[in-house]
Amino acid sequence: MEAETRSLGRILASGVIVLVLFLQAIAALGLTPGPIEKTPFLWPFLDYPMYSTPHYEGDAIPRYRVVGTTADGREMQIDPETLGADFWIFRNAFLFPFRFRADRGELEPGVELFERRHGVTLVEVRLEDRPIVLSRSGSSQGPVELVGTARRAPDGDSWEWEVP
Amino acid sequence: MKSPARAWRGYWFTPAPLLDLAVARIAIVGFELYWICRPSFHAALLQRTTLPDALYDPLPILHLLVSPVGWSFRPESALLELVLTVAIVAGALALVGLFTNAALVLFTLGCAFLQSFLYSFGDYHHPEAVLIIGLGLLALSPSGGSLSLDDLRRRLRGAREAGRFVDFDLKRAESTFAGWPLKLTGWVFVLIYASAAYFKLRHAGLDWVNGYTLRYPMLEDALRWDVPLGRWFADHHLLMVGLSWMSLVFEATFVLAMVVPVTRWVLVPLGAAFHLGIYFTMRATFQGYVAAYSVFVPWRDGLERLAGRFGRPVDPPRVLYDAACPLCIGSVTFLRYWDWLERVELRPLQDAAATDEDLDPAALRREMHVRFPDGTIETGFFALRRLMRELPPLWPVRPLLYLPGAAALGPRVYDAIARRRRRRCDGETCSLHGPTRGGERS
Repeated sequence: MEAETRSLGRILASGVIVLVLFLQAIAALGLTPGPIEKTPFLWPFLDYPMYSTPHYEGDAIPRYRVVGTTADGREMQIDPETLGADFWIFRNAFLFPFRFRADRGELEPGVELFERRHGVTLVEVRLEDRPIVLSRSGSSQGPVELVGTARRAPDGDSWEWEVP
Repeated sequence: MKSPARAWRGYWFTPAPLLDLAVARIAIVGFELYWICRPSFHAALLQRTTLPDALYDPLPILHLLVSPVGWSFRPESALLELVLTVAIVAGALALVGLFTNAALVLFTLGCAFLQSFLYSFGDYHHPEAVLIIGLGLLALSPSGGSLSLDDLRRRLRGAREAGRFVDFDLKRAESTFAGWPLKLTGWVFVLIYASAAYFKLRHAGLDWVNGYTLRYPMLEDALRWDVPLGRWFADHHLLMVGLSWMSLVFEATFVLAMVVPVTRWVLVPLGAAFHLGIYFTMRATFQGYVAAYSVFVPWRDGLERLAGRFGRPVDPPRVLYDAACPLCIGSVTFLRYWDWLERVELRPLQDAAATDEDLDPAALRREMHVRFPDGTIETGFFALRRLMRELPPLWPVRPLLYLPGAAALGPRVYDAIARRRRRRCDGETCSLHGPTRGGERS
């Protein structure tokens, strides 16, 4: 009886071993189905591609600054603290929409969160970059540049993008 | 040549020390429990409940976990608080090993639920994944078979049923199911590191070790989280070239930890330094990996070595206990449970050879006596307190027995318990101090 139980246990454990190795292996190679960029299909089985993009001398590390303009013309800085969220939520809502066209829909919920928190209406959001440039001997401040501007469309529900 | 089935069984199901599995349980559960108990974890959960629905993009596992109440159900703060509370209680039980497997199942599900909720707003991170997998494997294994209240209760019950103290050595306990969760977690680590090395080489080739590739994210994170040490490292190009090579070689060769176990002595400390290093320079929170590295350490063998070096004294403290008293048998079972270094000798006072002539037999039956190597004899509470010096696992609670008032209160508590204990007298049960069923006194 005990031998049978042990044998059954071994079969079940073997199933778990094969399943876990299979899931982790396909995840590790980035072969999981579905949109893995933001919602990893097999979490907690993941791929680990972070920090893999190559960089070279002269590459600029972006340091963003987001400025919102209210309906009455005031300028307000938007950052994780003023948004009342962590950096990652802030990044998704205010940085990615300027960098990736596919993420432009993320701006409105972020703006809504900011507006609700501060009791204002934003009519424009501007993203500036004050990059740090890598060199062999260290790093230095790069030129400030305007990454883009999003203006609330006259219908009030959508945004018009001006990204060079 | 072995058949594949036999080789499979031989690899995964060779009897392995339960102690090693238990230490992994304590390390992984302990870290995860600390992780979810942090105020910032609680704050992050609540903060996400305030985010607009448009940002909510649940992970598939969260869909599955909430499916009983609706596939797209979005948990609110009350439910999250409830799950967090249940997870903390389950984690505490799993840590001390009480109802271990049930507690581990609850803890794993609770942590997976909470963590996947945090990652259901368009962003996710990697540090917790291996811990969640490891927890799930521990839940399916006999991880409460050692260093647990479950195991202690089982041994106390065994002694009670046997009617005598059954000597044991915690280090010797093995199970055919104790090795596979540790090995499997080890292989998950191998695949994780292989994935990291694969993507680095696929995306950057050997440019990944040009120094700039590592300096970029290090400086980016150091600036974002304001970490001066990270800024310092990122500004030293040659140092970063060296660290790049080290990271890549470490990730690509970690498989050696599983196929040539002796390499663990290099790879595991290197990995621990690597993950602690990226925390202190980039605030990337991979400290949990260090806890999960417990699966690579041969704890039993280490303890055997320690026992060989610091334990098994020639003239150990000798505990004289009443073998006719179930409570005394339970007490020495408890003492033996923590005697990892084999520093204490346990002798029944009924053993004529063990009974020292200079001790009063009636006194011996009344309370525990311990003869220490210097010839002194301590009894009751004071014997126990001094004996704890020989039992390193109990050191954390030892200072409590030296608190002001402990010397007055301790003996009273000891006496109160000792007075209520009962003795078996030739097959019957009789009280040590009070009248027995037959009106006799023992």
